Amino acid sequence: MAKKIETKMNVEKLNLWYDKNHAVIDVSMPVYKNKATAIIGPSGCGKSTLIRCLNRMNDIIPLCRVKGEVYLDKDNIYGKKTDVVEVRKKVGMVFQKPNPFPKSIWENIAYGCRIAGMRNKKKLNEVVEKSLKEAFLWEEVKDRLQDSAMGLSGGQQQRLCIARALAINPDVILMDEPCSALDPIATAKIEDLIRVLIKNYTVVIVTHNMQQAARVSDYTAYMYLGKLIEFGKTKQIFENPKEESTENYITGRFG
Amino acid sequence: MRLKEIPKSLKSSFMGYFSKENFEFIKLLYLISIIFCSIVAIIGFFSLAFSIYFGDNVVRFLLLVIALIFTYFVYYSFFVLKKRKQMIGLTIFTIIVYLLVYLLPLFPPKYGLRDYDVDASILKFVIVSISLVIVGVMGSSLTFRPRYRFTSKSKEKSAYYILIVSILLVLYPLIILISSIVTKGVGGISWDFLTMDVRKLGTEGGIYPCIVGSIFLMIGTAIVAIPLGVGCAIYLQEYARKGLITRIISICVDILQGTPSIVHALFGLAFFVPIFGISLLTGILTLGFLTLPIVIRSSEEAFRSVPQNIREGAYAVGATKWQAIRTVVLPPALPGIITGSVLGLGRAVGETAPIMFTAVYFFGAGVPNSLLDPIHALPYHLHELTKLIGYKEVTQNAWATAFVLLAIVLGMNAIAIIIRERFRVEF
Repeated sequence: MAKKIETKMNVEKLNLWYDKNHAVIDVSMPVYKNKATAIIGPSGCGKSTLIRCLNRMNDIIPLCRVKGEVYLDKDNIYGKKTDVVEVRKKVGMVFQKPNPFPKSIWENIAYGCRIAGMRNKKKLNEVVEKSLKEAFLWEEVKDRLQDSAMGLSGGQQQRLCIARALAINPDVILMDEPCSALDPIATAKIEDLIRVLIKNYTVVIVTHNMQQAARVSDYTAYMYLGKLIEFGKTKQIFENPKEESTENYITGRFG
Repeated sequence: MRLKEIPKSLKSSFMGYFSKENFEFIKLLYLISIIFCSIVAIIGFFSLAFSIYFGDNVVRFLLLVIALIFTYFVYYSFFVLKKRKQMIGLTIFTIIVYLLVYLLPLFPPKYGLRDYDVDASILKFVIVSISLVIVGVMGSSLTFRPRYRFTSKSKEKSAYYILIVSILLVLYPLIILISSIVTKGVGGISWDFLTMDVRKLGTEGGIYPCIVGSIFLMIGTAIVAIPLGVGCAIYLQEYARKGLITRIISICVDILQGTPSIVHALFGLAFFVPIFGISLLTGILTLGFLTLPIVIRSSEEAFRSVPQNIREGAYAVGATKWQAIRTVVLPPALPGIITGSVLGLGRAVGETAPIMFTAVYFFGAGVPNSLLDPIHALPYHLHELTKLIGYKEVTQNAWATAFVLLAIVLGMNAIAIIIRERFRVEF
């Protein structure tokens, strides 16, 4: 691994308010290319809010104000000329609760490409197959692509959502507690998937589960009360944290 | 002693009640009163459902017997068991029953309805039968009280039965309404009646132009109200920021919904008639405004029932707002929108007031050739026929018209139910 580590995204002095509630305070952190970055912290510390800032998902929440910059490659995604739709095409997202559309499996995966204007059925079929294979779901659903996605199990639905995010070929995939609604087996599958995905994509994952963060991530950010307390390599954060607050949280003394 | 134990002991040794050691007058009285009240409830239900009236004296007698039993229970619960709470309930009920015994047969109106060939005693049925059902059911539950401790389970059961009774009470008027219109109206329905023009003030001929007019009105109203209403709902629910302006708009929608239909008629008369004259188009526009709030409200509700995370899923793969609405919000909301709209249209097609001054003639309009022609419509035709009852022989035609109108409205509702059930999306 002599490859130089590149920075994919860079958060600089990001502040966010929900009405008068200052939810994210002066956060600056990098997101490295082809690495998994975990954001941990106690409930309500702003980690979900932070990850939603990375593809401007907070735009749809009323009374939400953002100040600061988030750079994707060289472009500020909060810049005045930035098209939010283009940002979201490059930065995909998987949510806490599996949220497949009430359509067929095929339509779910092809959705992103179709709204982007791809009409060619053959190409769409290829995209669907490729994405499902990448999400390790192809073998389970290849015979019933036209069935409703609502009929899949929770773990399958979550992998379907990952496949849906992969289908538009993003650079970064954000995962907001992707395993919190799943059982251990489905969780293990998704964790394995994340390790494979970072070969081609950059992954940011929010998690409550510290073991999960330790297992899947290369870098870890610890947040507390809206502030970024510590950021570093996962190994360093878990074995030799610099801040006392981080140590307390990781050793389970609070949170 | 619990409620449950009665049937058991009854089953094991019904005759035991008559043996000397088991014989207890009060026990027997309870059983009799329960059975009696249940019978009264059943009589009440069927007398109403099938329009059997069995005379004031019988009703009086039944109620009097119940009242006497209640009186005894009041005495028993208070002086023997010292249960004040039950006593209050029983006393109130006993007073009500005594009042019913003396007042009931006076209630039905003596004149008025007969002129319109509505059976005057129908009101009597309603009042008598409902009172019998209430007295019977409430009586049978109340008579238990001083005697037996109600467990939470038996309370649960009685709540269940009381709710069933309330549903039956809701269904009563519906059953009566539909059965009387069907029995009186079906006789007048014939092929000629459905396909011939209105003649001689409705005493002869058919109602063909009325049916056609009503259907045209309905289609036109749908074309005006549904796109406008759905668009308005999308704006309110998806685009508009929740703030002062949205609240004002939605209050306005509520006011529009609460506006009496005759006010809509005046609005149509003042704004549309000067432009389009008394015509199909004017009627469509007036009815459209009447239906609009219903469509807006039901569409809003349908959009709200689509979970937020589905929208987020669409945004996350690069959908614009409109794309997200069109592709993932609208399809699952569609059954709700259509159901609400069809119900709204069902209401619109039965409205008389809004079209009275804006769209219809009683006779001579015929089938409209263009949007600017005046029309006939079923509800207004019925209105005019009913005015003529007593002067002209139109009774049969009036009932038959009512039947056709009811069939159309119920048909619309049936369509709404079918759409709702078949295309429902579960999340």
